[in-house]
Formats: sequence, structure tokens, C-alpha cells
Amino acid sequence: MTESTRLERDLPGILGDLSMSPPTESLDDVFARTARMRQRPAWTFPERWIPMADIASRPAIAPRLPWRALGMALIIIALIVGAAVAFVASQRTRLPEPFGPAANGLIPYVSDGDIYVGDPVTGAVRLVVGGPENDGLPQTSPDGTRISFLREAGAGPGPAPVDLYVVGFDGSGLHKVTTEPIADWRWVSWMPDGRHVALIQSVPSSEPCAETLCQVNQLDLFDASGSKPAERIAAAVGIDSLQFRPPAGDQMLFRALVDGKYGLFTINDDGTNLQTIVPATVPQAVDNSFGSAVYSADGERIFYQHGDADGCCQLWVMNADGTNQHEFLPRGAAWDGSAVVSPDGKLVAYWHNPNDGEPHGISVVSADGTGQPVETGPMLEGTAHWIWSPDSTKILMFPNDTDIGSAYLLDPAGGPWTTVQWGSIGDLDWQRLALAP
Amino acid sequence: MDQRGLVERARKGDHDAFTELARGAATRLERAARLILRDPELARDAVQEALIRAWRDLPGLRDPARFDAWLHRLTVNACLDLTRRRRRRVIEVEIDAIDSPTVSDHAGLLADREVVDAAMRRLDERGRAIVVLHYFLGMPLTDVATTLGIPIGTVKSRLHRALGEMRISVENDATPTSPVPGGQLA
Repeated sequence: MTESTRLERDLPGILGDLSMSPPTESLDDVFARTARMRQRPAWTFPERWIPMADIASRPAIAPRLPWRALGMALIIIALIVGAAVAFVASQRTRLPEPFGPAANGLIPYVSDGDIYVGDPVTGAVRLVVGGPENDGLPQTSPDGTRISFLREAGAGPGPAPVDLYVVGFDGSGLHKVTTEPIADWRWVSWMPDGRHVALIQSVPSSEPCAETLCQVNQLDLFDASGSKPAERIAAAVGIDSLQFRPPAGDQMLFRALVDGKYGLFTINDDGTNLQTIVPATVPQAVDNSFGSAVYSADGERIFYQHGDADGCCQLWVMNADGTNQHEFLPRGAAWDGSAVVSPDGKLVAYWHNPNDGEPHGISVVSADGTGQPVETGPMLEGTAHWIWSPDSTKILMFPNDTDIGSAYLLDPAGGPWTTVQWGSIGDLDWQRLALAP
Repeated sequence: MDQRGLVERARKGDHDAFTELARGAATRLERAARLILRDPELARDAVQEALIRAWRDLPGLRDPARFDAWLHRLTVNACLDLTRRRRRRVIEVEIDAIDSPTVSDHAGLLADREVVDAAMRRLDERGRAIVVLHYFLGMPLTDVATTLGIPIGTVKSRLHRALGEMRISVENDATPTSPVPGGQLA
């Protein structure tokens, strides 16, 4: 018997011996809490919607308008406004658009529970928010002027509650946005308007539930100034994740469960116009399906992970209205997904994880699926996550299962890579700056 | 009452049935969490979190026969969530020297335990989770992949790496080594 086979033979017993511990004494506290907690009722697995037929089939009736008079008035107004805008714009710093190419700014990151920004070119770092609190998930506003982040507001059991904060990029104007801690947050992102932060949390449902209390995901829009109450998007109950559609950014794409199956839906950022993009057809067990759904840079297509009864996943693409669903780039037996589109719309960086378990880099290919994919970055045995630089020339990547503690800067063309000069946890973001005129 | 009956009752809101299920599983879950997290306090937190989620989401468990696997998944995810949330402080990791075993057969078991303990400490939480799910909880690799939400190929490659690191420790056990300086993990 070889040493290696003896190890595997003996491992179960040895692990059992290593894990011996005194009897657990803390269950009474757990049961006291669960006794007060109502279960999520069965009918919320699937989550239920406002009846889709009622919403989707309601016709829009346009009133008759005096078009000629309106046209003249609009022309006059436009001339006045245009002159005013041109004057104002010349007097203040230009800001980037929320979508599309932008200039590279600084990279916010977390170290030792504090928020920093780092310059990937010079390596210079600067503390933005310090102190004894435990802060994380820094995200820059679309205009590149502020950073939102989460601050732990207590302890468990269970996930630590958090508050949402916003601070200027120079560390000024720190203020809390939430009025009370979020007990169970699931997803946070700035909205393209730069005035709100969207947050998905698990909350007690407002629907009456016989004998038990529902817990469902819910979308809230927080005013970044902290001066207004949050707006709950009631129709988005059960929401899983969120993407904003370029170029306007006022339509939101999200995954949700309906009747135990996953589907893709859109809704306007004011909570109206709920639409089905892909009917809920994928069993809940294939829970990577429709994950990582993202728009192309022009908002006309959606890249997403496709799973079926045989498992997950392949990278698929479809039109923004849900038509023409097809595999993006078949590449053999592998797990493909997690597509991230470059801001200039030309390239897609995605996960091509062959089933043979060999190490691999990040795959980059033309967004129209033509040409050969390029593999870039260090060969990884496990998983990673990444974002594009605002100018589309770099990929900022963080491996999920290494101890290197620094993010990688990758060349989309497969050239040499480096690491950023500072250590951090895996939250990734990159400040957008206005392009030079 | 058998476990299936308890699960079906607990799904319908019978808290007594749930406590019986939880008490029956808690020791096993905490032992698994301790192996993954290597911290008794964190392990208790993870198991508490898993049991709270289990009570809350139990009505969504379609197949009562999958209760144990489902509960294992909740526990592993709670362990990894705790690790992710708490990996914001510099952690000093003391890497101990690996002692050479004594000669007798009786002492051999104790030496194996210490060697494996040291080897497990070298793995990250995900690597330990895979080893624990497969070798301690007896899950097939396909179930391990489903539990962790990663492809089977990734499970195999990580397990291969984890066992390789552990085998190195076992092989090094044959010869005395000098202490490795303490290191820091961000």
C-alpha cells in the first residue's frame, strides 16, 4: 500500500478524531431565536409575482397632442437650454458618462477594515475612510466623485447587519445613507443616475402568510445624499441580482424565481413596466442559470449563463427582448460563464473552466463572437472574479482561492500581467473619469 | 419517528420536530465546521447561522430525503461566508514544525493525527471544505460540487491539490524539519 493510498484510507478516521469537541452548549440560544422566527412559507419557493398577464397586457393609449405648437415650443426651449448648458459645462469639471469608455481613475480597496484608493500606475495609496469600524465593499459612483461602502453595525448570530455610507473620493462629506441597519443584505450597486444606490436585502414579506412570516428578497433604492427615505420597488419582490441597461440606464434586468424556476425580467427604475425577457423555465436546482446576466455595451444583447437538466453552464447570448437565444461560443465540455463586457463594447472576458480540471486563465474574445479566444492571466485551478478598466485596456482580477492578497492587472491580449501594489480583499471597483476632449 | 417524518413535520412549522432534527445533526455539523474553520468560536457561529437558515428555509426543501445534504450545504456556505466577511484583518498564522513520529505502532496513530492536523492547517478554507465534505461527511464528489456550487472539474483539481499538499506533509514527517517562521495572511 502506497503512502498516498494509506492517507486516503485513514483520512476519514483521522478527521473524525481531529474534530472531537465538547458538546455544543449554544443550541438553546438558537432554538429560542427560531421559536420566535416564522418560517418562509412554501409558496414563496417559488416567489410569487403581481400577475404578469395583468401588467404586460395593459395597452398604452396615447392622447392626441397639438404637435405643431409643441414642436415650436420645444425648439425654443431647446435653444435656451442648450446655451445654458454650454455655458455651465465650460465652467465646471467634466464628468464621465455612466456607460461606455472612460478614463482610468483610482482603484478603491479594503485593507484591515478601512477604505483606501490606489493608483495602479504609480502605486501610491491613500486612506479615504479609517477608524475602528469594519468597512467594506467600496464602490465608486458612475461620475467618479463618491464612494459608497458598507459598515458593520453590530454582530450576529447570522450575518452582521450593515449600514450604507457615502463619502467623497477625497474623504470629505462622509455620511450614513441608511436610517437603520440592513440585517441581511444580498447585493449593492450605484444606479446609473448617480443619485441612488440600489440594495437587495432579504426582508419579511408584506404579504399576509398563514401562520408563518415570509422572508423574501426586496429591492430598495437609497438616496445617496441620505436626505430622503429609501424607495422600495414593490414589483421586484424575489429579485436576485441587478443590471442596468445601457445607454439610458433606466431599465433594470434581473433574475427571479417563479413557480420554482428561474427566469429573466426587466423593470423600469421607477418600478413600472415589469416585463418577462425569458419565462421561468430553469429548475431552481440549476441555480447558476441566468446568473451573471449582463448587457452588451449598447444594451442590445444579453450575455448569461445557461443551465439545463444536465447541469450548468454554458455562456449564451440573446437579444435584449429575449429572442435569438443561442450559445455564444461553444468550446467543448466546460463551465463557461461570468461574462463581463468591456466598456467600449468590443470584448468579453469570461470564464472557460474545462471539466478536466486543468488550470486555466481568463478567456477574452470579441464581443461579436468572431476570432479566437485569448487566454490571459495566471493559470488558476479555482475560480476568480474580474472587472474591466474604464478605458478597456486592462482587466482587474482577484482569484477566489489563493492567499496572494493582491488583485491582478491582466492584458486582454494575453500579454504579461502584474499585481497591484497593495494587498486587499476581493472587492473590485475602478473609478471612472471623463475622457479627454 | 424517523428523520423523514421529522423533516415533513418541521417543514410545516413544527418547531419541536426541528429541534429534534437540529440536536441530532448539531454535533456532526460543528465537527465539520471546526475542521473547515479551525476555530471553535467561528465554528459555533457558523452552525448557529446554518441552523437559523435551515429553520427559515425548510419549507423550501422539496425532498425530505435530501435534508442531511441540504444541511451540510448550509453549514459549509455559512463557514465560507464567515471567512469572507472576516478576512479583512491581518491574520498571523503560526506554521508549526512537523514532528517526526515515534517508532511504535501505537504512537503511529497519534503521529498521523498530528501530521494530518498540520497538513489541514496549510490548506485554505475551500480546500478544507472539500476534504471535509468528501472524507469526513462522506459526500460523493458530484454532491461536493453541487454543495459548493462549483464544477466537478474544479472539485477534482482542488482535492488533488489539497491531498498533494497533505501528502507532502506526510512524507516530510519521515525526516525532522526546522521550524518555519510565522507568516501573515492578509
